[in-house]
Amino acid sequence: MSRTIVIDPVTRIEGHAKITIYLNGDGEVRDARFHVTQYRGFEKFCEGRPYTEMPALTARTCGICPISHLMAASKACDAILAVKIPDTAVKLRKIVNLAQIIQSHALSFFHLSSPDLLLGMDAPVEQRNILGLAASHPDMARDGIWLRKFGQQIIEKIAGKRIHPAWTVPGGVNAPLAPDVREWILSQIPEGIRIIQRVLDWYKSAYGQFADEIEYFANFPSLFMGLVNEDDSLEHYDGALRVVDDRRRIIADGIRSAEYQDYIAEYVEPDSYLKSPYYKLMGYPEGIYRVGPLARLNCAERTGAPLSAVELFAFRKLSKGAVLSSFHYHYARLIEILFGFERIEQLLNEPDILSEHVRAHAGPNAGEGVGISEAPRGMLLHHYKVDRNGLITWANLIIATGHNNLAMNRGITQAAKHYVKGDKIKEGALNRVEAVIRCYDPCLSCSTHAFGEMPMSLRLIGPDGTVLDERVKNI
Amino acid sequence: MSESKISEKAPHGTLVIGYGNSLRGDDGAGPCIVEWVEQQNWPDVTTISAQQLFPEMAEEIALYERVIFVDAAAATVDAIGLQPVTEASDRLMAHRCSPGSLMRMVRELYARQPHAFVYTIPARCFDLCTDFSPLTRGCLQDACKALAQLLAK
Repeated sequence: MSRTIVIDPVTRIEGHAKITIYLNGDGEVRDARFHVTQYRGFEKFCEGRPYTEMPALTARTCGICPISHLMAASKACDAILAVKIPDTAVKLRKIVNLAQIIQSHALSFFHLSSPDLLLGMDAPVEQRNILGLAASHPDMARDGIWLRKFGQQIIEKIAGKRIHPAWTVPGGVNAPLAPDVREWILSQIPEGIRIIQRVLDWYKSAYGQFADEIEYFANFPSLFMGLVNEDDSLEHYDGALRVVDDRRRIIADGIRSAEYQDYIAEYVEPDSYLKSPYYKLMGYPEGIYRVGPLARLNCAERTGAPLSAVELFAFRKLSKGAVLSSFHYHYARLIEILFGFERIEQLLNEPDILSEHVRAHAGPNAGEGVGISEAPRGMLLHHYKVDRNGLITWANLIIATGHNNLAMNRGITQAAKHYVKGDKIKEGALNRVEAVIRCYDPCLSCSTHAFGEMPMSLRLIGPDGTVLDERVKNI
Repeated sequence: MSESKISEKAPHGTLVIGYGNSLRGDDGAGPCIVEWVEQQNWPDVTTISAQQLFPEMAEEIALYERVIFVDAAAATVDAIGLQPVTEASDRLMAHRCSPGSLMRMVRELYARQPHAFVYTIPARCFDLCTDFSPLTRGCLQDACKALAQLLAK
């Protein structure tokens, strides 16, 4: 007789979801499924709107990563305009995108995941949160607050608002960089680098305590996908897509935005509103791939900045091929924060960064456009078609969390098989299954366009469909 | 800012934090009050307008002698409320928290305990609109008077 466990809601993620664990007749885990339980449907209600509204409209998908949607939407609209936007606008967009990555990675690592790492996976649930962290490790909590605040301040000072700014527009940006803002950001970067290097040193000294989690937290061969520059360096805005396998062999490279449908197809599972994209050339579900910080570091050969290059060198020592354990998404996230500071500094020192030529003007010159950028959680894709008046006739959004859907399902199955024993869920096992999901830092409001608050749940179901145990954690 | 850098600065002045969603009717009462406070140009009074409270505010709050939160709350009485903030240990979300949990973070992270109060403005309508209900509109005027008296002390 098979049975089922349900975790509902899953906690400390951006969104509502639940996990179902299926047991076989011997009480062993047979399968686990990650369900996203809300739907918003931005693709449909954007139809009929002018393409010029798409950056502002789609940014409302989320309050955590609106900048990412602004970037992908603006790039798709640039393609509809069929213009080359000014170089300074590209650089300013890159700075704001990196600031978004810094603040989002800080939120994921310090606020959501570090309580597990510092207090322990088995610590009392009431302590495993940012307040518990503030009480036990105030230095780490202060570092997280500083990093997140700085990322948000960069966005606010350049783009006007920390959430949902209207600064990025089709053809460029609507305001140049002010000299005093440039000076202020540059003055803060050394402190940011000091903080993140200190945290990186801590992580490298501490991850050895998590050998079991590293082994069983979504540690399996898969493909990895991310943007890279022509010189193989790490990129979050420009460049082209690269796909590598578990040995870091390049299996597809130089993929331009408009070509994505030759490589990515989408599948819909009946038990989730989260789409399941897959690598088309390998079919479903074999074409499982991962995106996000771990994938980006697996895809790029170098960072293109000196301090993060040293950290990437150390990261490479984890594996002869690609780093496969999703536990190390945390590690990759910290390296990307360091890279973000270095790259922002490089961009702010470009001679034309204060240029006032930051926007190209045109009407719609192409019937469709695709925009790809790297969101904190991975590659984000917006694809629009417009009529001759520039009104949206069709839209498709493929969100980072969706790219990782197949990998998250496989990851929780692996973790559940290792940690869940019997037909009752122990708190430590529950937290570890949830923590696999947290490694990916999913943003479910983005990925399904869900509405409202979004904690998760876990359910254990027997072979006859009986719910044996259910854990619901409302926060 | 590190704890040592915070401690180098003596706490000074009052911070008024009005929070809520201005596109959700009466929920915009907090930001509306902040807008009014800004127009008064009172010395030593700083404001923050936000949709919600979040942990990053702890660092800013630590720099002030006094902090006043202004929030809309579903009406149980027809008058504004003023209460001191007591520390809370609620399991705050990563990007949203209560005045009590925020004040606890201020003490634990920055060793500061500003006097903290929360004004609650009774609210009836949280629909998608930018107007206030008659109850909230009336209470906003009361809140402005009360706040002026409090800040004069």
